[in-house]
Amino acid sequence: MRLGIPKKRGSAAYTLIEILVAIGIFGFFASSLTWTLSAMNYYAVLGRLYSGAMEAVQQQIDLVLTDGAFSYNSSQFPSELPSVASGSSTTVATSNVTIYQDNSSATTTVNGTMTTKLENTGTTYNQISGDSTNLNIYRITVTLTFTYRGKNYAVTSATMRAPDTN
Amino acid sequence: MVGLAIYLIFYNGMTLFAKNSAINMAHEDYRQALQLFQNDLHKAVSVPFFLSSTASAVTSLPTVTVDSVAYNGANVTTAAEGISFQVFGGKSGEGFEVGRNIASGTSQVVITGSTAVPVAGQRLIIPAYQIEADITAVTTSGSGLTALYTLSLASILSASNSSGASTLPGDITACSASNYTSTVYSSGVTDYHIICYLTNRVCYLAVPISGTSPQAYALRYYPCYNATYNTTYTVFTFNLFTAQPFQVATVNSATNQQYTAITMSLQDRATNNRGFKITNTYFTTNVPYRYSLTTYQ
Repeated sequence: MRLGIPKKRGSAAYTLIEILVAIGIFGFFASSLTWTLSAMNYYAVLGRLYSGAMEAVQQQIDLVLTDGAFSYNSSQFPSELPSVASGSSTTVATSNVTIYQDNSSATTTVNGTMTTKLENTGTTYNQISGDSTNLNIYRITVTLTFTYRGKNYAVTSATMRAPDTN
Repeated sequence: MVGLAIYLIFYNGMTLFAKNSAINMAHEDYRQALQLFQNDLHKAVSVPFFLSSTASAVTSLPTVTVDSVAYNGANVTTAAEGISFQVFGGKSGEGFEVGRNIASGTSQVVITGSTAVPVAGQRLIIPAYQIEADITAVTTSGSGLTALYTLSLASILSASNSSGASTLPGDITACSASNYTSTVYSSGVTDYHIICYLTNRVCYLAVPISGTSPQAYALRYYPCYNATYNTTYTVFTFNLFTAQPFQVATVNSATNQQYTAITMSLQDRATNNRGFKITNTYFTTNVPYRYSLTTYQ
């Protein structure tokens, strides 16, 4: 024999509100997951591109530091180091520099434009006698710009080189 | 329907995660391999030479032969499995001084003037006499800058040495440790200060990994490489897919033996290429050696 007020029986199914809230939470979680992982991939690829760009810039720096013979007063100028008057500068641009290449298909996916700025610093060696000798030291700045997913990026490195013989 | 949605979301999530890991793995291996190689080759004090490897498994010691023609004007377009060159040993190229006279026919040289203790496996370089030989043993007496290091060499120093690795035009005389500490030099006193250096012959070598398809390679780095000391190495990467990474470079449309072209394709072997592309890291670049202290490679 049951006494007292009978309990109200609970619903056998979810309400529409409960389902919508659950879908909302799940959708938020799913979109956050996808967005986060896509962003991680974006930055991973971008990091790889920066490494490729740095390598291309380093190769150019190595070239201007080692190519020779470089003698200003004897007018010996390697192709990477043209004659630049004291205090002046010149810029050489090279397009379609490979930054990333897919090894499986051997196709280049990201190219860049490299600019090499050569500046004759006009640094002089001043002697006690009062004579002054221009050392013709070059300041070389290499910049590689590239575009990835609509955004522009640049890597820059600089060095200096004195003539092998002045 | 809900189950399918959950499955697709987690499938795509795992795919993106695997892609991210693969990119980062290949990128990390690239940085390890190339940047250390580049740093070492910039520090080279000898002209590099190429190596050919016939090793079949990563666990075995490769049989290496010197590609002797690679840097001598011929066959410069052929790529090689390995490259070897010398870098300064000791404390960043700190110089030594010959501490005792060297008589022709000996295989021992006493050096002094540094606290960097020589070790067996290094090479002794005396540029003024073109003496270059592997060190097989070292005994030390004294301490500090006046310590004497007696080096046993792998070859006998004589003018008729047929190995080509070391020649001695004549006896080196009037060298003594006391000269090193002497600060007063009077007229008529014969004092010779003969500078010498220690180098390590380093080696980078691509060795095939057995049981991989497509064929993968391990890039080994030997910090001290010669006929005796060639069992200690570090593996920079197991994810290399280039059999012969090293070659004389083409610079300004002509082969230039000062530059080494390095080409490497790296890809994470732990994941396949399911559903995504370009997770590899592929690069090719030219690296020059900048200085040659030694006469011999």
